[in-house]
Amino acid sequence: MLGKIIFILPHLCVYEAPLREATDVRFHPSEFYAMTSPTFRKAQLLLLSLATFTACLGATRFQSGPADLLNEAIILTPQAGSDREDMEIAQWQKKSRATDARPVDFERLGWAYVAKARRTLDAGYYKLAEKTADVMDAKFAPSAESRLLRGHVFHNLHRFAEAETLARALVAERGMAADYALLCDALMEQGKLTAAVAACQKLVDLRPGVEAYSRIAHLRWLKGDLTGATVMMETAGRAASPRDPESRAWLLARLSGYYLQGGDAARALAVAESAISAASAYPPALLARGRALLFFGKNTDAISVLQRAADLNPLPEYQWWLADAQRAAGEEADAVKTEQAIKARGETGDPRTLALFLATRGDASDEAVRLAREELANRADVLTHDALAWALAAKGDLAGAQAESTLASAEHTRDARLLWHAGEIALAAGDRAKAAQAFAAARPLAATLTPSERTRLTQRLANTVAVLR
Amino acid sequence: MKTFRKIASVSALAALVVCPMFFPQPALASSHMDAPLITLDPAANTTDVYAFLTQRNGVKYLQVALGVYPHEEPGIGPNKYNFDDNVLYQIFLSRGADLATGADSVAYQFQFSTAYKTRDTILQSYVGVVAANGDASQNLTQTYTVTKVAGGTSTVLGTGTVPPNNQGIATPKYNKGNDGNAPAKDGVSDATQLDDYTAGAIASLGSGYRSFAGQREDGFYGDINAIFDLLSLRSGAGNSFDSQSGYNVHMIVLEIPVSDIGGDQQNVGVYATTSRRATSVLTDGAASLNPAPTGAWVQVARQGNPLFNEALVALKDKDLYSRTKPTSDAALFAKYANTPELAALINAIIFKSNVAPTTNRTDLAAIFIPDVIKVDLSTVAARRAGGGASFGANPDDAGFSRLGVFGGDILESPLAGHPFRLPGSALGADASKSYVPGGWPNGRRFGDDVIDIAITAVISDLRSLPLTIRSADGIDNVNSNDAVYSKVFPYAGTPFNGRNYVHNPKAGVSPLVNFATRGMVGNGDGALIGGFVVRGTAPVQVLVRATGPSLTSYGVAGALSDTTLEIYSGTTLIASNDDWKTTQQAAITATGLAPLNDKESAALITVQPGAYTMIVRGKAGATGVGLVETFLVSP
Repeated sequence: MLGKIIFILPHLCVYEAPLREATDVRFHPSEFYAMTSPTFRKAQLLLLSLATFTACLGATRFQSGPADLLNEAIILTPQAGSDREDMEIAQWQKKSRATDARPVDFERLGWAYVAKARRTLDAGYYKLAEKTADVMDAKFAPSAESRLLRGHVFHNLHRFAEAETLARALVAERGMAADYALLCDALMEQGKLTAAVAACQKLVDLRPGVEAYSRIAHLRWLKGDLTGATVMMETAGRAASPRDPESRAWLLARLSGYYLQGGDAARALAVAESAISAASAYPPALLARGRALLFFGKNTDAISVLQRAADLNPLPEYQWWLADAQRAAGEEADAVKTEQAIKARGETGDPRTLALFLATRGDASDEAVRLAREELANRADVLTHDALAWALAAKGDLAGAQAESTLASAEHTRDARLLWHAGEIALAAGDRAKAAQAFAAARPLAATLTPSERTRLTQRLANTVAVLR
Repeated sequence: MKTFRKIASVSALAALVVCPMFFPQPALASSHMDAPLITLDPAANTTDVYAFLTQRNGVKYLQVALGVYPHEEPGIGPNKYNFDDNVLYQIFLSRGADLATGADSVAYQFQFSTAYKTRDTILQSYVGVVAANGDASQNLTQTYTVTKVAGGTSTVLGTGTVPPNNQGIATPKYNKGNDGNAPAKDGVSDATQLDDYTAGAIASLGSGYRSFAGQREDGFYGDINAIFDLLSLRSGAGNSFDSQSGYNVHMIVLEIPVSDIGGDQQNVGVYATTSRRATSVLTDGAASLNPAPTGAWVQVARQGNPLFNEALVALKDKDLYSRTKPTSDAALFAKYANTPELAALINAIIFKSNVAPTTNRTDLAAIFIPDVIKVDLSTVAARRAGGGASFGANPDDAGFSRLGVFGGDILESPLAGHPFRLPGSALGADASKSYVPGGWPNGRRFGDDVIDIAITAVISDLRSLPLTIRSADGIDNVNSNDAVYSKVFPYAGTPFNGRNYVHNPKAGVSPLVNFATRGMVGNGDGALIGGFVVRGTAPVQVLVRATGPSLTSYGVAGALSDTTLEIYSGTTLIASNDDWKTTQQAAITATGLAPLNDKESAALITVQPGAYTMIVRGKAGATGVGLVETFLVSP
């Protein structure tokens, strides 16, 4: 799509450089996905001729250059739709178009785009939010507000290192709670847990509340403290606002996962339904319900829920659960079809999960290793180390797998998949004691595994118990 | 839209493992939503503080009240609104020399504790009709402890129980005729007429104190929407818009014997805060004994006079205001009272000329700096609002004016010291005496029209005698509350019924009451009956489901083995279902909320605004425990 735009441009009397700047091509994969989003693409295409035409006629009327003009035109493309977020975007677009528009009007517009991105999971809206930050800087002086907006966008586009840089600058400059929250998020994703904990501690000391509590919950979970994570997520859930249904649904979906991991599947299901009630058609909530249903063996019911989730958010994580549900229900043809979709499009959305999926299926292990390694360069947390360990094991590189598995286990994260992988790798490497320890740790958490993974773990435990003794 | 969704999904990114909770960003200020960081923490988000003088049996009391949870949607369900055990609610008094600086002389702390009678149910709040506060049908029950802190000494004054929220059928005694389908009862002028839940929740504490904590209707009124929409005020009959119409809040009310705080020959200042606990991010692992927050209390919200942080403090300082004490006001926020942007905006937008003084507003600073509500305790009791000047058995007190001093509602004050104590000659009253306003800014009563009073003050010049008063009476076209106050403790009106309430018709609110109730399904009249209300003007799509067999999975004993479902609009049957897969299977499945058992019932229906009744029966005479639920599907 991008190539087409650039190709078309000369015919529209616009020189190429400003457009490159305007479209901001950096070719980070997630950037490209955002750029190919219909949201962003539509805005670009609809306004391209208008903006370029205007630029040709007399860009000198504007203080900003043609690139800034195009950016502004893109973010101010009238928002259609009647969702709450659409109306919010339209409202701030209107205010931002005014001749006396203030920085805060653009700032609110940027966060309205973020809100839309969060609910729809359409990364194109993040790109529009980033463009809004660009416009803020161009029209007004660069500000902490635009940096925070941009940092949040970078984080959500998986540009974690850039988000960290911005967050550190914000912390040094003013040190507000939101700055520490962004820093914590960026550090957490990069596996810098000690620094993330410190940032989160500053956050909660400055401003206790749902934003701090939910982050603490995840940090505790990463550190293997399921009880502490659950208590803190419950605390966050109680503090969450009905005025922010997606956040509430997200918290409840996470809490459902904690309950499932803790062995309280009925509560996990009930909380997942509460999440759906808070925000209907919210994929994470649907996924949480599907996982709980699968645990109860209600495969057919789970399929319908997971199908809905995967339709709304066709990412490997969702499709993998759907495929497993379909296979568990005997719908082999559908499962194969779903798995083909994972392989066909998984890399664009979630390469780490695709790597895990391929390695678990014993399929395309070279590809799995490549994907995991690329992810590790950007997101070196324990879950990516686990993905790489698993992929290396599938490829037969046991030494490499052991090294990565050790890194994956470094924080003592109690994740069933991670522990099962660690056990398999240790067993393959002949380290029976370590394997026994890992399998034993994985067993009580097995409810969070997909049905096929659970079956494999169960079989492994049954087949090797004597050996491990 | 379908095509767009399909394409859009291609570009979706993997959800981050870390939480996506992001901080609320600056919003244009509006009442009840005064600072960005607090807006998404409703249990700690303060709405209003009230403080006024009463007298009962010859004894003077200072009534103080703190509201939290702005814009409580009455019909959103019973599970959403409760005081938070992890929030410390505090009401402060400044006395003597402390009044000038805003320092704390006395603090009253309210800490809540939540308990469930059973967790073996999905019915969080009620398992039946609540006959009395805390009875077996009220599953979730909150209690609280009131502690007085003064002079470094903490004294527990006593404890209280929070009454249930007004859900409807489950809480009939809040509502007219004790009918759960009827609107909420009006406020009363006689304590014997209070509804049972409210009366039963009034706690008698030590040292002559009384307290109440629970859901009430939001007594604030005004067209906040228009005020913060570039002062584009509405006018004309039938064009008023009360932004808080039809909403509840959670309220703490404390009756303080004046004798316990040093007697009535003084002025006191009142403000309130909420705090949350910090905590250690990492506990000592899975064996941690106390993974809940146990760190220091950190102030997250503050409230004194109405509209100060909302209407005068600049956006960049609103959160700073929330986390600071009144003792900082002179240094940090006096500029906003002395040079109010609001005055300049009114001049520019409304008057088109420099009518309102915009600088050196020592009169406004006297009200707001420090931001504590100043109350003269030497006067007789304040006049109180009921339902209006001629409202049946509960009219406003004679002489009450929602405009306070600007409406001639004044109180003789034998005591010097209140910043708005004025000679009678300045007020058209007895020139030999001095007076203070009958309402805000001398205290704040339920019923004070704080918007009209505030704007009158802003556009007037009260800095010297003679006063130059420019009335803003009716400026926002909202001149009364949408519910009747009580003239007896706890004063705030009865909470709106979740089953039967209306907002201002122009309010853009969610149209549906989500609903879930569990009960025994018997034969004949023993059917399980529930209801839901769709508000607004547009139709909505809802999923109604009746479950029984699947309840067994959750440990429910005696679950109904096979359900049938009927949905009525009035007496008209609009939908029915036996087994959900027999009709609409695909559509119901697509909602993600399909029943878990084929013998259960569901209907996906589009309904116009109105009230609907759901009836669950056992098929072929089956009996047992059933559950009926309503979910909003779209919009």
